[in-house]
Amino acid sequence: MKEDLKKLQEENAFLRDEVERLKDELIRLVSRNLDLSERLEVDVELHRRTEVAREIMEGHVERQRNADLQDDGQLMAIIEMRLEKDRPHLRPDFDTKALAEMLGVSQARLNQLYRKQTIHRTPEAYIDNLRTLEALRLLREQPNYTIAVIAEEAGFTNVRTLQRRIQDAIGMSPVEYRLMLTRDY
Amino acid sequence: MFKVTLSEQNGKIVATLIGDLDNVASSEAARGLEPIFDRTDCSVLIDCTELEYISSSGLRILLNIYKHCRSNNHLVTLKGLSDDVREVFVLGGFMQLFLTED
Repeated sequence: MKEDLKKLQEENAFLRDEVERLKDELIRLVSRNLDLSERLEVDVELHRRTEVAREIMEGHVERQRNADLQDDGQLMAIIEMRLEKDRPHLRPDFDTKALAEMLGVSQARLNQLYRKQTIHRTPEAYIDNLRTLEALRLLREQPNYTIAVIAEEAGFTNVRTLQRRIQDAIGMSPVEYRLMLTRDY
Repeated sequence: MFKVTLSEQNGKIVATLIGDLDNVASSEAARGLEPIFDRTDCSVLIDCTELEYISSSGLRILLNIYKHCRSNNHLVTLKGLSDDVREVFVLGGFMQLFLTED
């Protein structure tokens, strides 16, 4: 009986030591995990800062290049590419001033460019036309969207402007356009 | 916004962490929790009820508290972990070290 008790006590002491040893090992692993997490956080932050710096530099270089660009055709192509890629015109506050700042050219240069190069005659009309095209696309492809949602998604400041632009462009209201599409199908 | 307070209840040090314990707040947390390392006579309860986020630098502070208490044969208990914070503790392997209570 005494021997059994002694054996159990020894076993208990051994297990307690083993638990302590495992805890030490766990602390070491948790510390290592934290080291790696912190290093990862630093790397992610460094990567983010590098990306921001790169974007600022690229934007600066691009604006500098555009400011010196005399060729209207090239500037027009750059505008179309940037608007297609970033779609800034879907923000209601995007206007001629914002377009000029984005490209690094003066508003006067843009006004002159649009008078000569486009049927829209002004940057404002060009931006409005892009918004109208987007609204027409949404009217076709998103039958569940309300007119108010479509106005917002397409970058119009209000529903009234959307209605006016669509009426001017296709000779019917947004609702009539939708009805026409429904009838066709 | 982060805040840390220390008090004593039922013979335990109670550290209450409030807000986001991110990398920026970790130096403030380390300063606020510093008195724990001067004590060798009691266990620690870390109240996380109002803790919304903890970064790895915050976890390191808690690990140091755990090591200090362990070396003095005392326990560290985490209280009131939200699901998000609990997940961070689980992923960091902390749940095997600390006791928890709701």
